[in-house]
Amino acid sequence: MRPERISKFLGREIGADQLSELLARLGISVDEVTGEGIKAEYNPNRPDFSSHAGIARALKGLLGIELGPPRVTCRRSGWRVIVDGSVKRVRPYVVAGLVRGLRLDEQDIAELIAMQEDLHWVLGRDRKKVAIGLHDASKVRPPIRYLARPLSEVRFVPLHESFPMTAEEILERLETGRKYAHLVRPHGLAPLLVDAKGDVLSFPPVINSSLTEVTTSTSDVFIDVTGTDPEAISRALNVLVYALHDMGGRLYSVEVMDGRRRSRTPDLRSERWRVDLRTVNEVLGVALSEREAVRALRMMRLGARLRGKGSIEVDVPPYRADVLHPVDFAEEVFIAMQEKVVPEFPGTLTFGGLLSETRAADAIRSAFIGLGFTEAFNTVLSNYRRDYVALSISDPEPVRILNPVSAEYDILRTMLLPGLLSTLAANKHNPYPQRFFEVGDVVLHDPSAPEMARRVLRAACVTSHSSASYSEIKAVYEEFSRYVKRQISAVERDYPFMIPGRSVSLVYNGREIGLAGEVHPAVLESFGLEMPVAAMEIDLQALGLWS
Amino acid sequence: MASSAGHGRLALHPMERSVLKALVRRGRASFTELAQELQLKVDAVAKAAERLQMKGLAKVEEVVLDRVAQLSEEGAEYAERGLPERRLVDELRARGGRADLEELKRALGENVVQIGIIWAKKSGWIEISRSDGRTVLNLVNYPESPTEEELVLRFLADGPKRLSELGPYSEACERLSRRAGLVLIREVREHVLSPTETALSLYGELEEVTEVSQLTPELLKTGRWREVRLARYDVYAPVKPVFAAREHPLSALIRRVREAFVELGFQEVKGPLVELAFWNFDALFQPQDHPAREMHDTFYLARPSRGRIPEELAECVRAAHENGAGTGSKGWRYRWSAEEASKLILRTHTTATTIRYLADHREPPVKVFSVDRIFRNERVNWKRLAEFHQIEGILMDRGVGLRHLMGVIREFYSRLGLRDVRFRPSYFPYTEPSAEVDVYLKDLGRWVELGGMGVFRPEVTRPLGVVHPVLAWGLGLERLAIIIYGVEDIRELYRNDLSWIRSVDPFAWR
Repeated sequence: MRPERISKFLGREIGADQLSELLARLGISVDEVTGEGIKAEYNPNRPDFSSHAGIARALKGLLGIELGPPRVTCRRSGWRVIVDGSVKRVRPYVVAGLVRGLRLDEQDIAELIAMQEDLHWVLGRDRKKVAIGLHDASKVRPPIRYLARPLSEVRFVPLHESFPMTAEEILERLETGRKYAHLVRPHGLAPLLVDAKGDVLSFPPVINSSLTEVTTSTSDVFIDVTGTDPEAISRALNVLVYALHDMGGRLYSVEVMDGRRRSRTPDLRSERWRVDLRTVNEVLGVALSEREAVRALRMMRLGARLRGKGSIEVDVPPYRADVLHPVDFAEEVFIAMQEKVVPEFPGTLTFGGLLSETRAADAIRSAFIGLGFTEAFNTVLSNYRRDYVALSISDPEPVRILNPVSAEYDILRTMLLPGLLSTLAANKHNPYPQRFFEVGDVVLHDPSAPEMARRVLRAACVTSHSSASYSEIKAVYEEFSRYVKRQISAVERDYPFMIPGRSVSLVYNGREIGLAGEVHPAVLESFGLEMPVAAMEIDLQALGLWS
Repeated sequence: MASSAGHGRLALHPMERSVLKALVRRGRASFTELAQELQLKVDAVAKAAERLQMKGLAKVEEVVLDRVAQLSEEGAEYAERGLPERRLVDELRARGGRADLEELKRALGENVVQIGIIWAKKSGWIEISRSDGRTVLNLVNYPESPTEEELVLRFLADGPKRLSELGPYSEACERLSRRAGLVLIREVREHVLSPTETALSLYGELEEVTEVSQLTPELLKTGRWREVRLARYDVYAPVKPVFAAREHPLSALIRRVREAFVELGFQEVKGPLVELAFWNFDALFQPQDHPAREMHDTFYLARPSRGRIPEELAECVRAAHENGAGTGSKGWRYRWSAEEASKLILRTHTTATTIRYLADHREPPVKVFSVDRIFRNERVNWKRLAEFHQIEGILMDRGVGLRHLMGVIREFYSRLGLRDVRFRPSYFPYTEPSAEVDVYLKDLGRWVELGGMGVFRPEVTRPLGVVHPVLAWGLGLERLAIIIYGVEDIRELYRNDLSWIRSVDPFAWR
């Protein structure tokens, strides 16, 4: 974002620092201010912030330059878009608009393209719900038809290409074709906007035709917005035409003929709400007067009038369709009147407390620290091959992840020990002896729970040095047993990841709840460890240490 | 490590010093003894002794130091077969204590019997009588235990021994040497060093006591510690490092955060990590096509993949999504799917847990918090983790609003020593109004965004049957941790690198 561009729309000079301050007030979070401009992120409820024009429009209200809804007129263009039945199954909805008298420079065009991309994301779910096409209107002869044709029968020169291609070729060869093929292919049809000459204007949601490319010599822009959600496409169109209006264009409506239904788009009627001042004051915890609240709403470019005691009528301009509930106006008032909302600690009197599980876990942690073990903190997310196959642990079956972005994680841990071995592996450069423990959750299948799984708190520790042995870990689990005041017995048992004859299972109340032993050299090798390791792990839940 | 610092007035070589010290302590000693005690070669002691003599601190003499006893050939034979007197009394006992001389001579040999009789009689073991011209030997006192001489013979059978080693038996040994040369004794001459008066006066004080380095339980029990001197150590000598076992820095921070909320009157709550999409999203009025629910943001589960949603509540939530459920809201206006809501995910925020709590606790006041793990399906890098912690909380009461929420958050951070906070408007699908909190960091000279908050929308609370305002927040723990601990790469927090854990300042934020 460029301060000088904002200044242009604002009609007043504004520096980067002042601007970033104002953006923060508007709820746009500023990442970075550099010589180039400001890097900022706006929230998805405000797609109108996708352009400098849109932000400047909001800032005008905040700065008191212009209050209330922006005034826009929209004449009829006489253009028509006729919706063909063939497109209904593919991409059913279309709206369109015409903007005349523009004088676009390179920056304006770059901005329009960026805006289009933003809207594709924010409103369009990556073009699924909404796809936008901007055209040089002088190349278009109305009426325009919106129809669908088999992929192989469509042929035109796509934007930025020099030769005609079939829709099929576009989906195969062009980058954007491949990216959006999944939205088109299932139907086998290409949705198209075709003008009266029979020229293809665009192939939504994939690409426009090169014929109608918008350039600095374009003065009139025809906009088509197609998609699967009539509300979303309408909103995208409104955001665009308001921005083009602010760039100096005159707005004209287009008649969309969809079977018997005829509508004129863009639909620039505002939405009317009734707001109770008391609600706003309660939600914010303030006591604004009616006048203050009305002014605050108008600063947010909303229409607002007092209608009877404490009741405000609010008109929401068509580029902002984010209002769902009257409570939404509280946020508008908050943005405009931030300094009136002064933090105050609430008088609600309650007693605080920790879960007894937390207290028990803390006591266990301090025992291990007392025994000379340093705490490790590992993730519940885990890797099956690295952590479980390597140890030949197959029981219990872990909870598995469907769609990990990174192959690093594919299950949730069922034991702490593999994590601690990784911890040792990550510490090979540090001096020995090394002793680590962890008190943390594992996740197990549990069909009796509505969420089919439960978290179980466990404790584990490892000791690694040149003479680490079973006897050392035996001393630890024996002391652990004394410390928790539970009769934990050890029963000799071999595990695939322990040296045979040097491991035991730990048993409490007749149930196996843990294990201890000397880790098998093959396992150490697979973790790249060159020091002996003795380890123990125990289920804390089973000990009944907390309620 | 013992040091002789402070005793260096005399120009003595360390070797001379240690020899002299030992000498003063022992009085007089041979070179060999000194060498043995000081673990030196005899040559080295000799060299030191010569120099000490030159410095007038010691006197070297050649003396007969000891005598060495060795068996003669005959002695060796006796050692093996027994002394003649022993063999004689053994034979006599075998014959019932009485035997004719001639018979004995035939049995043992004349020589043995002759010598045997002399010594056995001398020791009073036998008496000799005559009858009918025959000489008869009577056993009067059989020696059950070996005699001193016999012991000496056995002892010497191993090889030559110093007389001083034989201790009380040295006289028996002398007797044996006088007895027909069974034992040969030769003199050992050695150089002996004795301290001069000068040495004694110089070192007298020092040498009265033994210097020991380790104070032992033995010294304490016996009280001998009073008689010894505990050596001075080189207190600057390097040692092998030891390290305190510690809690993990994240753990320490979590404890502090919990403490802060308990101080403010909040009760801790905990909820499942594997969560129904219902509680994570739907109950929070997140539309089912919201980008946050997409596969690239949220971990969905393969096994198990579906859970059971609370049916009655689900209908209320459905209505909120589809038409606003009579809350005065438009709703999201789409067909809500129970199927989608029953998908299992890894919770993406702990609000899933607080909303569960709220569904069960509809009456004010409610003040709960949690600091717990959450998951995002993201590629891990220096500033992003796939699993991290959220500091979560809600406050529900009559007449509370955004202002009070800001009050809670400000108070919380000030308890961690972060006193400059500011609030910015923001947007979350389930809160209205929404805000973000920034904390000013003097060290960095800038504001850092630490979390989001807001008042739950009526579309969230009403379907649960909650009518009073609910203030909610979700703050980053790891972001706070990297600030407090000065970590550049967020992954460091989960690397468990000992050198990092040991380097963390435990007083950084108290």
